[in-house]
Amino acid sequence: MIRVENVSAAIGSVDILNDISLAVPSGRLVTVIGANGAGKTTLLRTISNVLRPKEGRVTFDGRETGGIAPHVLARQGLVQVPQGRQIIPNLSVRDNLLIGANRRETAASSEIDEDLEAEFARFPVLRERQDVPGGSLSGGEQQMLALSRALMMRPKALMLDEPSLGLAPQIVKSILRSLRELADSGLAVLLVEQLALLALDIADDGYVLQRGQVVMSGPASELRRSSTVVESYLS
Amino acid sequence: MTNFLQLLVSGVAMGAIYTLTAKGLFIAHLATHRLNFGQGDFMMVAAFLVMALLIAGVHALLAVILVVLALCVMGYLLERIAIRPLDALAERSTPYAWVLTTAGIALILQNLVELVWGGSAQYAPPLFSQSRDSVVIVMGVGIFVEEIAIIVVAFLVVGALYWFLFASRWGKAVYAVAFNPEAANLLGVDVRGVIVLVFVIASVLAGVAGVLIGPLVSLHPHIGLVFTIKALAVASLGGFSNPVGILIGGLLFGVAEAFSNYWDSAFGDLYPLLFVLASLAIKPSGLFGERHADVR
Amino acid sequence: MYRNLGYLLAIAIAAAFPFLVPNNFFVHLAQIFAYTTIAVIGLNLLLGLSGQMSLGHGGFYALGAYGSALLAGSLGWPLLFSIPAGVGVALVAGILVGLLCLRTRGLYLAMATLAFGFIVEIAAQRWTSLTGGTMGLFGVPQLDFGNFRMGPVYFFWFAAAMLLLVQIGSDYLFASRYGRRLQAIKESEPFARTIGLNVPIWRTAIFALSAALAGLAGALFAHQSGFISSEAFSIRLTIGLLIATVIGGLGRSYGPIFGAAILIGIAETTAALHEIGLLLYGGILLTVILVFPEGAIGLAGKLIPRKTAKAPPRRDAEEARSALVLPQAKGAALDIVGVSKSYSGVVALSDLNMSIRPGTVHALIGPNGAGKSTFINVVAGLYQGDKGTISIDGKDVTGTSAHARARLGLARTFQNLQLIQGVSVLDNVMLGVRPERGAPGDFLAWLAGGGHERGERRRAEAILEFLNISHLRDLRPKDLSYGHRKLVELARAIAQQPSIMLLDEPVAGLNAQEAASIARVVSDLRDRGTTILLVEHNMDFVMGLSDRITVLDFGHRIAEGTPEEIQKNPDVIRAYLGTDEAAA
Repeated sequence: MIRVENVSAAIGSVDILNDISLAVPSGRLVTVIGANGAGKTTLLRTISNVLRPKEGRVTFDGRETGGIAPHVLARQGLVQVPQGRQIIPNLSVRDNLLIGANRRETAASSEIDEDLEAEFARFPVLRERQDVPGGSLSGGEQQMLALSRALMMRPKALMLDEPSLGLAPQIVKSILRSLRELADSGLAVLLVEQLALLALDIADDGYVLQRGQVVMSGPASELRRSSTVVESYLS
Repeated sequence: MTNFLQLLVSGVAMGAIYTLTAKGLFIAHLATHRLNFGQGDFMMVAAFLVMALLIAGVHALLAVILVVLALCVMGYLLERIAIRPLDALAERSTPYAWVLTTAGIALILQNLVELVWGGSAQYAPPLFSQSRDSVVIVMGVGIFVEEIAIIVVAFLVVGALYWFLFASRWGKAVYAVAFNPEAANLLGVDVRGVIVLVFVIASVLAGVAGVLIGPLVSLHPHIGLVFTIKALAVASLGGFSNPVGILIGGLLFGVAEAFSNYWDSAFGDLYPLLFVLASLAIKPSGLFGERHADVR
Repeated sequence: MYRNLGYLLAIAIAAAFPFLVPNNFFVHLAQIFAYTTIAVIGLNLLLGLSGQMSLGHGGFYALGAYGSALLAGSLGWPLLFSIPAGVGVALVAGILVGLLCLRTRGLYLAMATLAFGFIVEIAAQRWTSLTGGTMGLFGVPQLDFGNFRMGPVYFFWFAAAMLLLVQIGSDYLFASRYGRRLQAIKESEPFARTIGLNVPIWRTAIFALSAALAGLAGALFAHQSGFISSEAFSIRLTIGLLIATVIGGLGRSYGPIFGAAILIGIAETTAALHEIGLLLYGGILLTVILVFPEGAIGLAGKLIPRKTAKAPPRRDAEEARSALVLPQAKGAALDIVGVSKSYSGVVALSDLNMSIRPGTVHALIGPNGAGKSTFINVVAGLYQGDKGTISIDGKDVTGTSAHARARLGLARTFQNLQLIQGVSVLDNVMLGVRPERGAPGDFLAWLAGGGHERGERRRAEAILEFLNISHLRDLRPKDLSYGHRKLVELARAIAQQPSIMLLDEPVAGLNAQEAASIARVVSDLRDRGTTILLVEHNMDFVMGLSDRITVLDFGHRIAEGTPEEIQKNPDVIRAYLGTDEAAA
C-alpha cells in the first residue's frame, strides 16, 4: 500500500533522511523504531508529502504521491496520526471525530453516524465523554480519540507517530492491540515508535532507523530476538 | 425615558455594526493569526456600492446581493495580494508585514472611492423604510425603523456565523487550522482553502455592516479607519478568541458610546475606546487561553 | 575611523548645502528631510531592531509638535526649553503606551498604537481652544535664532545637527551590545530572558525612545514654518513614516536616510497628482513589502557584490584547546524540592526531588514525554512550577524570573537551538559575554573607534577557538551545519561563565565524533568547577560523562544513582523499552 524508495530528505540545510526504502503492504503492521532524532517523524512527514523528498519516491496505492497535496492524500486514504495527538482542545470529542468524517464530502449522514457508532464501540470511553472538550481528556483518552478520528476518514493506510508519547504502558498496550486488530482487518499500518520492544511485539515487520538510515530490517520477531537492536537503540 | 430608550436602541444598532465588523477580524485571526487592517474600509466600500446601486434604481434585495458578491471577490483578492505572498517571503519578510499590506490595500480603496464618489459626505437612501427618519412608536417613544432593522439583520447574520462556526463541517475545519495547520492538513483539511474562506467571510461581514450602516451615518471615503479601530477594540474585549465575548463587548461598546456621546458631545466617542485600551493593560490576551508553544 | 570621516563629511555637506542650492526651496526640503529622518530612525529602531509594530507614531509626532508649540507660543518658553519639553511629552506618552502593551504584543500593540494615534488626531482636531483644530495654530515661534533672513538656513543646520546626533546614536545601537540584545529579544523572548535580559524593560525602553524621536521630529516641524494644523497629523503621516522605514531598508542603520529621501522625492514629484496620493502610498507600500522587502539598502547590496567572509584554516583541535585557559568557575549547588507542574490537567512533573552537587555532571534521562523539557524550563524560570522550591546554593529562587536566575549564574542551551539569525556567530557568543564597560565608557570607546568591545570580543573568540570553530565567526547561524550550530549554542552558554549549566540534548543529531568532542568539552567544564545538569537521550554520552543520573517517567522520578546502578535498574529498562522483561 505504501512504498518508500530510496528517499532522502532535508529540513533546511540539515539532512535528516538518507536513502530510505521500506514497504507497508495491506494487512500488515510495520514498525519503524529508532532513538530520538533518528528521523522517524521526518519519515512520516515525507510520506504524507508535508515535506517534499530531496531524492527518491513514495507511492501510495500504486500511484506516485509527488505533487499531491497532503490533504488530498489524506482524503485518498493515506492518514497520519501526528505526534502529540493534536486533539483540538476547545472542540468537543464528538466534533473532533467529525473533523475526520467531514472530509468525505459525499458521504451520507447515516454513513457518518455508523462510523461514529463503530468508533464509540471501539473505545466506549469516547461515547461517555463525547460532549466534553477534547482538551480535558487524559493523555490515553486523547490518543484513542486521535486514532478514532483518523479512522473516521476510512483510511487504506494508517501511520502513527509515537502513540506511546507520555502514556502509561498499560494504555500503550491497549492502543497497540487496536492497531494489531486494524492490520488484521486489512489495513496497512505504519507505526513509528520509540518503545522498541513493545512495538516489535505486535508488528509483522520492523525497521531500525539510526541517524536517518535504515540500519536493520526484517521480520519483527527476528529483530525482537536480536540483542543488537536493543544496543543500537540505547546508543 | 424617551431619550434613554432612543439612545439604547441607537447604541445597540451601532454595537451590532461593530460586532459584525469585529467578527470578521475575529474569524480571520482565529484561523491565520492575521487580519485585515482595512476591515473598516471594506465596510466603507460596501456602503458606497449599495448607495450607488440604490440611487441607480436597483431593487434593494438585488443591490444587497450584488454588494455581498463584490465583497466576496474583495476578500479573495485581499488574501491573494496581501496575505499569501508573505508566506513565500518567509524570513525575508518585514515583521508584521500583513499589517502594512492590508493597510496598503485600505489606502488604495479609500482613494478609489474618493475618485468615483468624491471626498464630501454622502447620504445613502434607507434600505428598509420610506425615508431615513421613519419612526415607529414603541411605548410612546419614536424609534427609527432603520435601527430596528439593523439590529434584526445583524443578529441574523451573527446567528448564521455561529451556525457556521459551531455546527457546520467548515467551522470545525477552521478550528483545526487554528490549532495546528499541519495536523489539520493531515486530517484532510484544505488549509489554503480554509484561509481563503475566512478572509472571504471576514470581507462579507464587513460588507453586511456596510450595507446596514449606509443609512445611519454620513458616508465619506475616510470613514473606515474609525470602524477598524473600534472593531479591533471590540474584538480585543473578547480576546480575539471568544466569539460570545465579542458579541457582548460589541453591544456594550455601542451602548456605552451612545450614552457617552450624549453626555459629552465633543469627545464622547473617545471614552469607550480609552476604556478598552486601559482594560487591555489589566486583562491581557493571555487570560483567554492563548496557546503557548512549549519551549524546548 | 571611516565612520568618523563619514560624520565629518556629513557635517561639511550640511554646512555647505544652503550655499550650493539655487534657492530656498531646496533648503526647505532639506529641513523636512532632516526632521523626517529623525522620526524614521525612531521607527527603524522600533520595527527593524526590536520587531515591534507601531501604527501610532503620528500621534507621538503630534504630541512633540503641540507640546513645544504651545509651551513656546502660549507660555512664552524659549525654544531651547520648549523643544525638550515637547520631546518629554512624547517620551512619557511612549512609556505609557509601551507599558500598556507590555503583556500584550504583536496584534495588540498594532491595535493600541493605531487607537492612540487616532485619539491624538481627534483631540487635535476638536480641542480647538488649545490646538486651533484644522484651522491651525498661528504664530508659533520659528526657530531662526533671531535672524529672519538667515532663519531657514539656521533651522536647517539645527535640524541637521539633531539628525547627526540621532544617527550617531542609532549607529551605536546597531553596532553595540544593545543592538544585539534587541535582535535577540526580537527573535526569541525565552532566549533573551535566559541570557539575563529583563525583556519588559527593554521593550518599553525602546518603544519610549522611538516615541521620543518622533516627538523631536514633531517639535522641529512645529517651529519650521510657524504654523501647525491638525491636518498634518493624520494616519497618512504614520503611514508615510512607515513607508520611509521599509523603503529605506528595515533594520539597517542607514536605511532611514535613504527612506526619508526617497519618500520626500516621491512626495515632491507626485505633488501634482494629489488626487491619487493615497493610491500611490498604498501601491508603494505593497510593492516594497512584497517585492523589495529588504528596501533600498538591500537592493543596493545585491548590486554591489559583497566580500564573503573567508574562513581561516582550521587549527588542530588539541593545539587550539591548549591555547586557551578557561577561567575556573565556582560551581553552585542546585536543589529541587517537591516540584510539580501540570498543564490543563495533564501532569508533567509530580513531586520531583533532585539535589545536584557543585561541580558535578548530573544527568536527567527518560523517554519522550517524561517531563524533561518541562523540568528544564521550570529550573530555568521560563515556567513557574505549581508547587515546590528551587534553590541555588541554598538561596531560594522559586519566585524569581528567568533573567534574574541567569544573573545568578544559571545558563542553558536549548534543544531547539535558539541562535539569533540576525547577527553573526561571534555576536551570538558575545550575547553571553558580560560587558566590561558601562554604557558611557563603551559609547566613548566606540566613538573613538577601534577598541570598542575588544575585551569582550577576545573572550568570545577564545571560546570559539576552544571549541575549534573560530573559522566560522563571521557566518550567520543559518549557514552552519547542525553540529556547528550546537557548538555555537554551547559557546554562548560558556560565555555566560555560569556556575550552573543546563544542557538540553547537547548531542542530539550529532555523529559519534562530534558527540565525543562535546563530551570532552563538558567534562572540561566540570573539571573547572561548573555544575552541569544534562538532559540527553544518547546513552553512551550520558553513561560516560555523568556522576549521577536521575530517571524520569510520567513526571515521576523512577530511579536515581550512578551510571552503573542505572544501567542495571529493571525499572529503567522497562521505561525505555516498553516491555515487562529486562532486555538482554
